[in-house]
Amino acid sequence: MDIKKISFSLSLVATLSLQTFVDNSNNYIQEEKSAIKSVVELLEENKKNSEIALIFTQMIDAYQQFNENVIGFLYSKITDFAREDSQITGQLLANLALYNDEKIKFYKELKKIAKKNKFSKEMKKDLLTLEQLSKDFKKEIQRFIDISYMEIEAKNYFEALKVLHAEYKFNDYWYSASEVYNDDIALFLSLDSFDDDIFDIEDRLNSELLSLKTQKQQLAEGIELPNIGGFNFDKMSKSHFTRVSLI
Amino acid sequence: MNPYYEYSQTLTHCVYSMMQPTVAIDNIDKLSLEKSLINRLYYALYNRIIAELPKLQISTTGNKHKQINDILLSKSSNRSIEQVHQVFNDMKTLREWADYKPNESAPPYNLNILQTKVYSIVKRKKIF
Repeated sequence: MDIKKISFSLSLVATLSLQTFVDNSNNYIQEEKSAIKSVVELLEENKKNSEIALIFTQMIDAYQQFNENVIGFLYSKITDFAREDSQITGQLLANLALYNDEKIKFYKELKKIAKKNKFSKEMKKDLLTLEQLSKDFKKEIQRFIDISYMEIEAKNYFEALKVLHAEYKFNDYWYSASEVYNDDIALFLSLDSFDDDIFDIEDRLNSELLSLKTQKQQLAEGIELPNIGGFNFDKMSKSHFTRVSLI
Repeated sequence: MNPYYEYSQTLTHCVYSMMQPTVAIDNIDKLSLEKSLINRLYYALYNRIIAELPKLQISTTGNKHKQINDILLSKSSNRSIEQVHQVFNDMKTLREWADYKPNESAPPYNLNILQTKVYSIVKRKKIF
């Protein structure tokens, strides 16, 4: 068994595409799965704990690399990815979420084994660290899920406003994803050119947004939202944007 | 004249002047320049509002940006103040992007629109 395999290299390019991102994430999942398999095999073969200890350390290092180089980057790219292809982005998040849940269960089981197999103090500490990292990661995935729904909503509103107000030439839309949990979130819109007063146009578009929000809420009523692996999908039916703002 | 009010006007005019096509900006990075203009527009608005908040002018504690936001929010039942609140919040979001988020995608802003919005508030005789 090659336990060094977990120390895979992650792409550090600033222009990571959605596909490269998916590949890197799958690579990470596969490498870590093989590390976990190695731990199980070593336990079954009653091998020395020192080998397991080494895998734990490497798993922590690999997670930190993954977190810094890939997840850190996802924070600045999630809206672009969701806009580019919400289906692939959704699948990516679902894969990460499901795998992370498997890991949390695995670490729970391993904690029970740790007592019988006399894991060293250091190993127990590393195991707790791995468990905590997975729990933290779960929170991050939840945030990405919420931002993805925010993007879907923004795109829908933008497309609807374009149809409803064909008299204006809409260019693009934007919002600050870091405000996903705020109460007052503006959907920023850029228009080509216009003769009316900016604030009057905003008022007109805002009343349209209000009616689109109401429609969305009515559609969502009665739909039972999924609860998979403790993840919350409430943002699917909620309205993030309280108003539009021309910029 | 109130120095905050005066500074607010100066900043707005400065941005307007910098946006003129006759200004030689060939050797300046366009995005950096636009980010600087967004920053200055935000502070034009910030100073215009603070011009009417004497306690905040002398205050040395707390986050003044947040305090301005809270004051505007508390008075936003008035449509005119609500408008100022929204523009202040939006400019704050854009300034944060301009100054602190080099990795995030650029908003589709139009400096003429931003300048018009800010100036419509800066030139008001009274905000509160």
